[in-house]
This record gives sequence, structure tokens and C-alpha cells, in this order.
Amino acid sequence: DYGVPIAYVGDEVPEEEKSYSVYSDFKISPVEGFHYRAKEISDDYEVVFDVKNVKFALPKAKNAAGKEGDIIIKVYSDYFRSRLRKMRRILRENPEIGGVIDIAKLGYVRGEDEVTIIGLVNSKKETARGFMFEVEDNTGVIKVFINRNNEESQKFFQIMPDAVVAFRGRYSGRGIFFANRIYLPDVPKFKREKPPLEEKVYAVLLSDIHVGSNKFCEKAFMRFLEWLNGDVNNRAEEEFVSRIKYMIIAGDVVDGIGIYPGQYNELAIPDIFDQYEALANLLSNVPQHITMFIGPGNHDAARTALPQPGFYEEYARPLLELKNAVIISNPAVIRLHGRDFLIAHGRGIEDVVTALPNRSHHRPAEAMLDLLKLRHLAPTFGEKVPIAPDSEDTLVIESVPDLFQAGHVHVMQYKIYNGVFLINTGTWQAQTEFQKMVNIVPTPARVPIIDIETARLRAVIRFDQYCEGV
Amino acid sequence: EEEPKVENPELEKAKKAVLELLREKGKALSHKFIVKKLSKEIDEELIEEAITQLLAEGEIYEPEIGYYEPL
Amino acid sequence: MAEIYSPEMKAYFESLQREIDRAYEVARKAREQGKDPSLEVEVPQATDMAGRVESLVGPKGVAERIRELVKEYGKELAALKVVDEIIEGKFGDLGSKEKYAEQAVRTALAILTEGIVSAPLEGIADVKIKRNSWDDNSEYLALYYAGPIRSSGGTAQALSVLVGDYVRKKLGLDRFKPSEKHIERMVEEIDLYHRAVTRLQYHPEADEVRLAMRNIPIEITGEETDKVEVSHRDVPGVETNHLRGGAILVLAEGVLQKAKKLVKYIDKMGVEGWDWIKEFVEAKEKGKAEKEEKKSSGESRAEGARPEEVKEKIEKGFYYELYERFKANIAPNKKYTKEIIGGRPLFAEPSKNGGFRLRYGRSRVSGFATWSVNPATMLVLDEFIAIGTQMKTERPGKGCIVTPATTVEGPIVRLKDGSVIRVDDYETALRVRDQLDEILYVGDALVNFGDFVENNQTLLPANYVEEWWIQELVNAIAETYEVELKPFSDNPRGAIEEAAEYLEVDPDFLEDLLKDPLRVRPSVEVAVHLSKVLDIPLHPYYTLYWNTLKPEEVEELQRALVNAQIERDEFRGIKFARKVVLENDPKIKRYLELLGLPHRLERTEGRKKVIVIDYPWSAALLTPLGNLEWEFRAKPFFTVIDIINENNRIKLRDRGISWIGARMGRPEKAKERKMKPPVQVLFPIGLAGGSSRDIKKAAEEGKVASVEIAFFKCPECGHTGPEHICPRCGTRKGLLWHCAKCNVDYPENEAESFDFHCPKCGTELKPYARRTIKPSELLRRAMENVKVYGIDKLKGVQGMTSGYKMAEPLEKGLLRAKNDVYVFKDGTIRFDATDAPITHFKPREIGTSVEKLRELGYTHDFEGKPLERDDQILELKVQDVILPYEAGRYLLKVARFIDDLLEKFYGLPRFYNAEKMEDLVGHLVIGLAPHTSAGIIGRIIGFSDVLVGYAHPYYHAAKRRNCDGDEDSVMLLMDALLNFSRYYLPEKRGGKMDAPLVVTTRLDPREVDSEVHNMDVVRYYPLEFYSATYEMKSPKEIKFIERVEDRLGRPEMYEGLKFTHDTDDIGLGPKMSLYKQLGDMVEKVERQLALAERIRAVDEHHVAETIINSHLVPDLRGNLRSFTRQEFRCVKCNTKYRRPPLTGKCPKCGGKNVLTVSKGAIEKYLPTAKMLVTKYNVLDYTRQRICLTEKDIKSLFENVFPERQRTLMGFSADVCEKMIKARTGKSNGRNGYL
Ligand SMILES: [Fe+3]
Ligand SMILES: [Zn+2]
Ligand SMILES: [Zn+2]
Ligand SMILES: [Zn+2]
Repeated sequence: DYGVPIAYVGDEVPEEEKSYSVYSDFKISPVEGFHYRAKEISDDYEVVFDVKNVKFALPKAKNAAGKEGDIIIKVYSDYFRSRLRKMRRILRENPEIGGVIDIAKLGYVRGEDEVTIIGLVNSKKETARGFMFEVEDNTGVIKVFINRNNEESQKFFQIMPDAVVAFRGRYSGRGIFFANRIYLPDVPKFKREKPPLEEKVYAVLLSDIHVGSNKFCEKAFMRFLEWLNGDVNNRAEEEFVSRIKYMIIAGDVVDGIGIYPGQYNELAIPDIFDQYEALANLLSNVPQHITMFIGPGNHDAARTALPQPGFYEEYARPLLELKNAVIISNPAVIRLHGRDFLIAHGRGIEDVVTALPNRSHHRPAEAMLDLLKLRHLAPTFGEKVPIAPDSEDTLVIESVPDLFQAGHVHVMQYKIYNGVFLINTGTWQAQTEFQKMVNIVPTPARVPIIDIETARLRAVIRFDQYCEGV
Repeated sequence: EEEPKVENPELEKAKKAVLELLREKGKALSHKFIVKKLSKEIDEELIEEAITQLLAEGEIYEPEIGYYEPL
Repeated sequence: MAEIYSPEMKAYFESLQREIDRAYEVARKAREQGKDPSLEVEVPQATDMAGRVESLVGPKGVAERIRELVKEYGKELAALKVVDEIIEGKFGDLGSKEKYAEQAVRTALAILTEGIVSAPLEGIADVKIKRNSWDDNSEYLALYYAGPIRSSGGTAQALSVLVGDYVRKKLGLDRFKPSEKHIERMVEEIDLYHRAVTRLQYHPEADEVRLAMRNIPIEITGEETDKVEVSHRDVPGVETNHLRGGAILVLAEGVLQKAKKLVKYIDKMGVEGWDWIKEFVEAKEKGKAEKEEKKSSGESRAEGARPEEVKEKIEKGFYYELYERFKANIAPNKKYTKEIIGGRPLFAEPSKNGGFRLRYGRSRVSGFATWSVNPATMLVLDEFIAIGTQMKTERPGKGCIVTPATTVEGPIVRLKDGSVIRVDDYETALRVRDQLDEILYVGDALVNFGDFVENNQTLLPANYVEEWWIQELVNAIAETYEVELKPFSDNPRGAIEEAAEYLEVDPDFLEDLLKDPLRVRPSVEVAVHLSKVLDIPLHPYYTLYWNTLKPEEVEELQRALVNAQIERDEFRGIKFARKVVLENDPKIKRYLELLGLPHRLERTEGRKKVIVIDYPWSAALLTPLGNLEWEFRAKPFFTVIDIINENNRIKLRDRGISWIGARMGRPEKAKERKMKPPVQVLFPIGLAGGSSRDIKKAAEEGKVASVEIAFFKCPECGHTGPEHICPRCGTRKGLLWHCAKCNVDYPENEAESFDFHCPKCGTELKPYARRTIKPSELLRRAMENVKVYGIDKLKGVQGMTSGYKMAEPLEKGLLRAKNDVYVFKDGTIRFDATDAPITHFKPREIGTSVEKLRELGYTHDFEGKPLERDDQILELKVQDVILPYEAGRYLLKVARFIDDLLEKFYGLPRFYNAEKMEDLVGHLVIGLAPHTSAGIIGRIIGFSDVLVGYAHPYYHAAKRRNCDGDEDSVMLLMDALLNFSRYYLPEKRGGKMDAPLVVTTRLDPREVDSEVHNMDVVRYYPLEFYSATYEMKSPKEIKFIERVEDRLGRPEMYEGLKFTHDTDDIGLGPKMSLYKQLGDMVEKVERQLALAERIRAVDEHHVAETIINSHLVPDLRGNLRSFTRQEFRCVKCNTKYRRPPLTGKCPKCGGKNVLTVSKGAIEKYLPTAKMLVTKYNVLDYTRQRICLTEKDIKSLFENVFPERQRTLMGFSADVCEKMIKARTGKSNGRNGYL
């Protein structure tokens, strides 16, 4: 090749030809003669809570020239007032709590009288003798102190900023409320029994599939789909597959684009349309009688702040066109055969891990439990979780679920607390470079099977042997 | 009887000096420089004549007016 | 010992000292009166490093010892000897072991950092002796680093550890024995810091950190610097679970990054127990070498195969071979293009032909990290570059500032009418700037050799230039005609005449040419004549960019020329073309453009357009092609020039081999410093003054203010108040100490007897208290004192941040307000300007008369001729400064303020009596850099109409600055002496930075930042240098170019510095970067891309993509993120809330709350980003990212501002809608946000 060697030729922008597959020819059909018991059981599901159905009160500008910023602040304070209102309702269900008064009225109370205040915890700190909180309700702000010797004070370590808590105690008159009891909203110790089901029926719970990532465990996921189509290893599995009637996917269904700097280089599919196309092509292999509930996560083409009403239609269209899929919001509550499943992607876990001692990404169920006790999916404003300016707080866990599913941290763990089954459903993405750096070890390609009747785990089927890098 | 060539050994000496100077420098030299350089030993007229003869003999050429270079 | 000053220099320093003494004398008289916090002037003088060290960190008396020890042992060893002596108690009993350790570490580090940066003071928060409680409970030493350690630089950081270890051993302490927890904590912290806070220059691997932690014998720890939590919590002895930024820097960028340098010091200082780091360095070097070897052996194998077969057959042209070696040795460096900020253009892609043409040399407005370019280039680049604008560069360093040099080439451009011209002067540039169509060649960048040394950058092959050609000419004359001549200087007339005679040129011309070859050039026919008879390459001015074309293209061009109309002429038998007229074939025209050949288009009678090439360019084009007497034929492995040189009598050298890329960095700056909001007096007014903290307003409204403030009590009459002097009886009052718990005041002497603790409750006493003041009373009294009544406003502060909270006398504020000047947190008035280097100036450039300059000691020009005219070039004295006009105007106001202050407040005579800016000439200033605590005295000698502070490179180096875009401040010396007080300095960490805690009176080049020692000081670079560049030598091999380093310790270090390239005027060029004049981001980016489209060496699509990815997207996503996690602020009392108060009002004061991140802030860059993804070829990924971001913003507010129905149009031009339509076949018609 002859020519003047012009010293440097700049690198060409990489040609954009599609070098990746969107699984358009990946088609499985059920194993011949496989008997799906689930087909014969009639559907019994209802989406009992979905953010899309909430009518948010629109703020009224005081005058036509009402400033944008003022409206937004108004909406944000409405959001927290709505939280306080909902939490008060929850706390009042606790028979131990009584004599609740507004903070502004404390001055009228006699020093020896015990009263209860309910408010948002603005801040908390440890002092030499105990613990100090700053608590705010609609009427004012007050400092609350509890002595270290009081066992109740240990709840200090469970309270996140902006959580709503009730304090029982006495007002000193010097601007400090001395508490002797602390009540978290919590869930009741015992749950009312629900009528048994006639037939065993199962749901599989998934999250964080991350299609499009170059670390997406595509073989494992395909193997899982084959399994759903009856390609099972033993009789036990055959029984499970036969009775699976529902699949729930709690967000991060694709890896998305532009989610973090430098993501381009870690994507097998650097195109948002094609990511959903690829996902839809995979999920089209889920047998038709299985109803899928699919909600968004932070990697999805969806509102970035919580709550997330759904996917952006124009980008996720192939997903929305799946016949047996029901798109749900993040968060959402689904009632399956009378059992309430609270489904959230679970970003709030991040805040729990930073705010509370002895919490870790590696044990997400514990963090989920903290959230459940505070009855909120992301209590703290201003930390990691972005909160949208909505006039109503839809992240309050208003009713006690039978099962609480989250994802986001890519580690599977479960736990039972006061009759509620808590589960974080792991992921389908192998460890990424970033995770390697911050020492996060994911547990990919594990499928928990839930017995709907008890809302408890029936089994975990592992496909991680098909996942590279595990 | 006497050959005309022998008649002027001075001129031959001058030609040799000019040629040597040009070869030493290996590039074109100005007329003035050649004259100045050699005039201590050789008569100016003789130098002029030497140059003319060398040009005529094709020993040197004139790349530019007033400059000489050996061929 | 030999004298290090010439008598002239000695006289100069003495005259500076006289002026300094005069100022101190006046200031002492003022301070004595007791109207200020301290009775003494608080800016001590230091003549040298030792003096600065003593002033900054002590101990008292150490300066003298340092001087002796440095003389005997050198700086590094002296630092350790000082440690010995401190610990041995030679400087007094310091109390505890810890105190000894602390003093020793601070003093030693101060010595090692020349006593300039504040790191020894602020970078080390504490020194403690702790126990290895998790191990054997032995005692060890812990150094607590704070954020400001950054300012000392990596090497000094590393050295502080070494010093710490030395101190440890000296005190007989055991090693620090870190547990696994300690080690892993640091591993995590370094990673986390790199990710979450700032990118580390050096990001060590985990195992490197582990190695260092296990082996460093002291604990490197520190205060938390960032509210980022680690997961390795509650490690024993580590006080915080947050990031310890100082410690992280010291370990990563200090010990590990500078390991190699550290080894040198370890050897020099003889510190034991550090063998591990030597092994570490060796292992690292070995690893590197192995890698390289693998790489190169791989290459040679691949190549080795081929030459076997065709070894002797391949004949390569000289330049072909040079280009090959170039390509193999020096790869383009893309780093500076990774980030492009909106509105700050990319001027040239890495190493791209047509970008900045490398020219070696140092102009007189250059020192280090400076590029000089032709002012025409600045204009043609749309004035994005002005004098002093910072650029980020491909090489030799990372950045530079730009200064003008009219003697280097400007751009070559094509105008809208199709003509191509060379724009070498400012006037032409002004004339054509609006008609630009394409910038074919950006122009020269004059980069000094010293910068290559400093950055250890392999020399790039030099491009052919006049300063090279003239030496080839001189050489040829000497060889051929035995006449010795000198370039760049006057020559004996006899020699000139003799040479002129042989060469048959005009002797006057030859004389001028030799004296100033950068401005004087031969006509094209004389140039050809000289090349022909002397056998030297064609003069560079007439040499075209031949190697930009491929040989085949020149073949085509030649064919076109054969058919062209050529007007011929002759000169002394030399044939040359006077004019060439060619058919306007676009391909041929492009070739001419790429050659950089000026030409124009003309319409013939037949209305056809033709290309016309006029004299001298017609000759420049045809001479190398032998006037078409031989046929140019492409030949494998030969470049165009190789082929020409093989066939033509007139030879060429390549004028365009080495190109450098650059983009705009920060714009230049020259502006008075104002705090935010601006302050005229350091006096607290709380909320009483409203949002502008206006004391006048508070007084008028009769408000009382409750503020934290120091009060003083009169020992005579008992008056209390914030003044130092009793307004009733004139006595100097004493400070009241206060117990906040018991609400009791104690006079200073009582407080002292209680050891500053409350005798009743034991609480520590504070020098201030929350007290009620009446602004109206205080102000009225102050007004009467200084007779200033008619001011609009008097801006105070809301609260004081200093440890003592002593207020400034209100009188000072009144006089500042009267003179319209503002105060900085330390009591001084500052003017900030971008640092620009200058070593030589002309009187007329700085507006100072020849007479005045003679008075100031400028008696001769740089060539030794007596100073007579205002256009002679003078060598700048090292402490003289040339200020921007802006600074002159402001400092004039400051001078009036000082005079008023002296007269009205202190009752002393006026000092400056300055009517106009020029009256400040001869007066002294203090130059001070941020992050440092030592100023340097400067003398004003004039002003220039630019936005930079011109001063000697040494002067900037004395502030520890190089000039790659830093800004430093100046203040009038008298202002600092009268008004600076340590009592005003903020108590927080870093408060002592950027304050004149000590001032250097005499500049010693040996004690300044050593970077300047690499500056070259010669008149021209010799021929040897140019051949060395063709060999791509390391700059370290070049021993024959004199640099400052070679002169240190001799009087020549101060005088006789030379430069290689003159400039007509140091102020010629745009004053202000266009960047600063543009409006919103859309406009900025549009202008930036318009320029990118125009520059041949820039790919605008690449620019668009990079702006989006490196600037717009991070901003958009960042703001989107922070919007939903933002703080809320009370407009009235400024309290911040993590979430909005439930009542919607500030619980503290009832004020209104506002957002700290507005909706507008998120949307701000969206139109720009959409414009870019619409107009330019960016990745689909990038386009989708922008469209998704738009959707994210829209959906964020869907429940606040529900979308109004958009009028549906059949066709939408919106880029996102179009994309969605194309990808899904559907359009919901709702996607457009704009
Ligand atoms: Fe995820
Ligand atoms: Zn008095
Ligand atoms: Zn007290
Ligand atoms: Zn307020």
C-alpha cells in the first residue's frame, strides 16, 4: 500500500452496525405433552394499588403569576404532609398509642402529664446521655430526648430521617420533649388467617434482568425459559412448572442507556429500543397461561424519580404489546388469590444501608424489614433515592402485605417477620466491573417459587451454572 | 618549434588553482570570490582567462551568471 | 563566596528594600495607635526560605539555624537536622512529646516546601502519639492530614511521611502496626474517593495500597473531608467513618505516585527502613520495561519478517523514513479531547495536519507553560483565544496560556470568494475575519524548549522555519566564502559587505536579514538565488505544505499546470513564474488550498471562473517543480518532498511535520475580588441589614442587631463595645472573655488567670458572645470620626467566621465605600488576574516614560545600548510587574482609600497621592497565590491593556505557580500592612490559606518553584538542536541550550536572559475571549461548532458528541438527580433544610422557602443538546440518551404541571419524535418538550 504516511489519522467513530442479537429467532414451544395444571385453574388476580390510578391533587397557584418554584415547594410539602397523615392513621391502629397532641400545643400541657407526639424525624444524634431527635409535625418542630438507659432508646438505630414516629413522654417546657416510649408504625404481631386455596398455585418472582448488558446471563435466562416450557430435570420441578400461574418482575428489566457514565462500553445492546425488543422476544417464550406483572426500575426507560408509574410507552412498546403481560407501577400491590403482594424495585434499600448501622447490600432482606417497620419504601429525602414532586406520598406502605418483593441490589435473600414474607429476588446479571470494584457479589439466575396460598417460598431453582462469570 | 601550449604554464597553473578551489568547496562559487581568493598568487587577468578557458573546455559551467561550478 | 548579584541588581534590591522600609515605618505608626486588633504590623518580612519558615510555623530562632544547616548540608538534609535540634530541645521546651513531634514535622515540611505553601500549617491537622492497642499496645506516631495538604504537591506530601518516620525514630517510638481492618479501610477509601469525590491523578491498585499500608512505619490518617461513608467502619483508632481526603492524597498521589522521587530523597537523607519502596519502584520499572519489551519485540518480529526478503531493495525517501519513525515513536495524545466544554472550542484534533504548527522558541512573553501565537490566529479563531486565555494542550504539557508573538506565522484561510490568503498580521486578520470560509491552517504555536524538558516530552521533528534557515545560510556563507557572520545580531560592516559582494545582494539587506530574520525576508527570486548558489533549502516562507499532498495528487496538479497559462520572468538567469492562471477544477483548487498556496478566483471574459496565482506564489509553486522542466512522478516510499529533492536543484525542507492539538480551557481573568455577597467592612450585622447586609440601612431603620461579636472594655471608664479604642476617653480597651452558660464577661487578665475557663462552671471562655449592637449609634460615631456621610450603602457581613469574631473598625468600611472598593475576608483588598510571563518589554507597551524607567533603574536595553527610545527592548527586573489597566484603575481607588485612611483614621500624612494610574508606578504590591500563605513583594512599573498580570516567570514561580491558567492576586503593600489581621481569618480548616502570613522581600531564583529552572534563556536554538529533533531525541540529551538551571548561584541567574522570538506589542490581540461575551449555552455551542466546521483540523461531529457526553449530559443528569434530592433554603435567614418544612415556611424565622435547584436548572441545557443531536452525526446511543433525558424531565413534573395539549401537526421536525417514528413506526406526537 503506497501513499504518503500522513503522520496521524484520527480514529473513526465506530460504525454503527448492529453486531448484536435481539433474540428475534429465539423461539421455544412447550415440551410436547407437558401438562400445565395452572391452565385449568381460573385466574384470580387484581392490581389493588398502582400509581397510575392515583389522582394527584393539582396545586393551585395563588394567582396566575404563581411561580414555578413556589408551586414545586408547595407540592413537596404536601407530599410530606400526606405522609404524616397516612402514618398517623397507621399509628392510631396501635391500641397502645393515645393522647396524641400537636407539637404546637405542647406548651399548654402540664409538665407531669404524659402525651404522645407524632411527627417526621428531621434529624437524630447520639449525645453523652442518650439520643436526641428533632421532630416536626404540621404545627411545629421540637427536640425529643430519650435516655440511654431506657431500652426503648435502642429504636434510635432503626429510625431513618424523615420517617414518621410516635414519641410518648413529657414536655419539659424548655423546648425539649422527654420521651420514654418510641413507637414505629410497624406491622401487627399477628396476621389474620386467610381462607385456604383449593389448589396449589405458584408464582415465580424475578427482578433485575438487565437485558442489553454485556453481563446479562442470557444462556441462563434462556434455560429458565426452556424450563418454564417443560424442559425440567425431575418430578418435583415438573410439579412446580405445572402450577406456575404468575410471574412478577420487579424492575430493571433492561440495562438501559446512559444510566451511569461509561455505560456504552458495557452494553451488548447500546440501543434502548432494541433492548426492549430483545426482552420482549425472550418473554414471548413464557407460556401464555402465565400472567406476567412487570414493573420498572431505575435502569428502565421510565421516570427516574419515585414513584415510577410505568415504562415510557414509545421506548418499551414491544414489552407493552406482550399479550400475557400486565404493566405495573413501582411500587404496586397485586392481589393474587386474595394474597397481597407488595412489589417495589427497592431503591430505598440503598438509603437504609447508609443510614442504619449494621446493614449491608449483601443482606437486603434486613433492610427491607427496616422499611417495613417504618412502613415506607424510601423514607429519607435528599439522600440516594430521588423523590418526584407529587402532592401525595404513594410510597407509604398503607396496608400490611402478605409478601413484600424488591430487587435492585442483585442479591437474593428472604426473611419472615410478623407473618410477612420479605424477599429480594436477585438478578440475571453477572458481576459488573463496578460491582467488582465496590465488592458487591451478586447472586444471579436464581428463581424463587412462591406458594401463593401461604405467600411463602416453595423452592429456589438455580440456573447460575449457565451464567458466565459465576 | 615551440608548442603554443607550453607557452603559458602560468595559465595552466591558474586553471588548476581555479578548478581545485571549486572542487574543494564542491558548490557554486562567485566570480568575485574566486578572484579574491586566488589573486594573492595569481594575476587577476590570468584568473579571468583561466575561467574562460575552463568554461570553454567544459570543465566548469555557470549555473547562474557570475557563479561557477565544476561539472 | 562569590557575590550572587551584579552591582546593578544589588542596587535594585536595595531600592526595593528602602521602599519596603518606608512603608513599614508608616504602617507601624498607624498600628501603634491601637485601632486594630494587633498593635503591630502583622505581615512579617522574610528575605529567604528560612525566614519564611520561621514566620509560618516557627519555632522562634530557627531561621538562622536553617540558613547555616542548608549551607552545610543542602535543603533536604537540613530539614532532618532541624528535626534533630527541635527534638533535642534546642529551640526550647515544648512540653509534651507530641508537641515536639508536631513542631518538628511542620518545620521540616515547611523547609521542604520552601516556606510558601500553607500545607505545613493547614495540611497537617494534628500529630499524635497513639498505641497499637489491637496489637502489642506499643506507641506509634500518627500524622493527621487535612484537605489543604493538596497544595504542597505530591513530592512534599510523600516527604512529610518520610519526615514523620524520622521524627518517630528520633522519639524512640515503635512502628504503626496496622491490622487487616486498617489496611482494607484504606484500600476502600482510595477507591471510593476516586469514584465519589475527585479523580486521583494516580489511582493505585489495591495491592499497592496494601503494600504501602503494611510498610509505612507511621499512621497516615486525618480528618474527614467529604461526607462520604465507608463500609469498613469503626476501625480502632480511626476517628471517622467518612473519607479522609488528606490521608488519601498523601498515600496515593504522595507516597505511591512519587515513589521514584522518594527513593532519591531516601538515599540523600539516609532514612532507614524504606527498602520496600525501592523494591516497589524497581518492580514497577521492571514491569514497565517488560511490557514495553514485549510490545516492541512483537513489533520487530512482525517487521523482521519483511525486510528479510526485500531488505536491500526497499529504498525509502528521507521524509518517508522520518514520518515512519515519527509515527512509531510518538502517538497522538487524545487526552485533552476527552472533555469539551460548551462554548470552549476545540481548535485542533490530536496531531492533526492543519492544527497548531509546532514552532520551537520562547517569545519575550513566555516562560513556562505558555504558547505564543500570532494575534491573527487569535482573531481568526473567532477571538475565542485572547491574551491570557488558557488552553488544554496535547503536548508538551497539559495546559498553557496564550500570549502574542507577531514573528510566528498566522493562519492560512480560504475566504468566501474562494481566495486563499496567508494571514500573518493583525490588520489583515481584522479585514478578512468576516469573510472566512475555511481555516486551512491554524497557525504556529511557539513552544519553548524548556517545556519539553519540564514535561520530558520527546522532541518532535522541527518544522522548517526562518530561524533555522538563517543559520543554514550563515553556515553556508562561512563554509563557502569563509566569512563569519552571526544571526540575530549586529555584524561588522566589513564582513557584511564582503559576503554581500560574493552573494551579489544588497549589503544593507543582508545586514537587516541577519539582524532580524523573522521580520526581514528575501524576495522569492533572491531566495531562489541564495538556495541555488549556497546549496541551502528554499526559504521557509516560500516553501509550501508539499507533504500535505499525496504524490499522486501532485502528479495531477502538475498535469493541470502543464495546461495552465504561465507568465514567465527571469532574474539573473533564474527562470520564475510571475503569474499562473488555471482552470477552476475543484480538485486542483483543493490541492492548492492544502499546499497553503495563496491564490484567487477571477472571472474571465467568457464568464468562466479561473484560478489565479500571483507573484510571488506563482514562483513558490513552480520552482520546486523545476518550472515543469522535469516530470514529477509518484514513487513508492517517497513523499512529495522526497521526490522533489531527488529531481530538483532547489531543495526543500518540510515545514509541516509536527502538529499539536489544543482546546480552550479557562478564559483569562482580571477582576477585583469581591466576596459573595460583596463586603465593604468585616463587621457583623446579622439579619438587620437585609439580604445585602447593609449596615447603613439597618442604622437608618433604627434596628438593633443581635450578633456574635468580640467586645472590648475600657480599663479607665468601663465603656464596652466593638471598638479597640474607647470612644469616650481614647484608651485602648481590653478584650472581654465570655461564658455563654453563665452569661458573664471577664476582662482579659482575669480570664487569663482562670486559664480561660469559667471560674463558676468550668466552661471554656470564648472571646466573643452574642450581643446586641445598635448600628445607628456605631455608624454615626464612625461617620463623624472620618467625616464621611454621603454613602449609599455599607455592606457588612451576616456573621463573622473568625475565631475571635473581632469586627473591623466601621471607619474603614466607610472609607472603602466612599472609594468604591471591597474587602476580602482577611481585611485586604485584592485584585485577581491570570498569571502571564514576560521577560522583556518595551517602554511604550507599558505606558511608562523612558525617564521614569531610567529612574527605576532601567538604564540600558537588552542588548546593552543606552535607553533612549520607547521602542527599545528592556529586560524585566525580576520583581517588577506590569498590571492590567483594570487593576490600575482599581488599585488607584485603593490608593485613595489608603490615603484617606491614613489621613482621616490614623491622622497620618497621605502616602500615595496618586491622581492617575501612572502615579502608582514605582509603588509596591504583594503578589499572593491561593493555597499559599507567603506573598512576594512586587514593584509596579507600568500597565498594559490586557486582562492578565504580566510578571517575570520567576515572580510567578516565587508564588509557586506556573502559568497554565492560574490566577493570583495583588494587593497594595500598604493595604496589607495596615489592614491585614490574623484575627479576621476564618477559623475553619484552610482559613489561613490565601493570606499574607509572611512576605518575601527578595526573590531568589533558587528558592522558587523549580519548574522555572527549565526555562531556556538563549537568543536562538542552534542547528544541532534542529537535527536532534529529526532524531526525536529526549530533551534531556540536549545539553547545548542554556536554561536557568545552568545559571543558578551566579549573578547571571538574574540578568542577561534572552528570548528567541520578538513580538511587536505584548498587548496586541483580542483582550477578552469571545467565550465571556456570549450569552446562553445555545449561543455558545453554536459559535463553537461554527468554528469547528470552519477549522480543517477539527471534526465538528466529534466535537458535538464530546460536548454532549462530557458537558451537557453530566450537567443534565446531575441536575435531574440533584433536583429530586435537593435542599431547601430560607430566603430570609438562609437556613438550609434537607426537605421542605411541613408548614411551607421557615420554622426559624417564618421566611419563605425556595428551591436550591430550580426546574430551569435541569432544563437549561436541553435545547442545546437537542440542537446538537439534530444537526450532527452523533451515535444513536447519544441521541437516545438526550431524548430519554428530555422524557425524564417531562415525566418528573407530570403531577405538578400536567402537559398542555400540544397542537398536533402532521409532521414533526422534533428529532426525538422523528427517531421514535422511525424506530416504532408510530408517533404519539407528544414527545417534543420544547
Ligand atoms: Fe438492577
Ligand atoms: Zn473609657
Ligand atoms: Zn460559666
Ligand atoms: Zn428563615
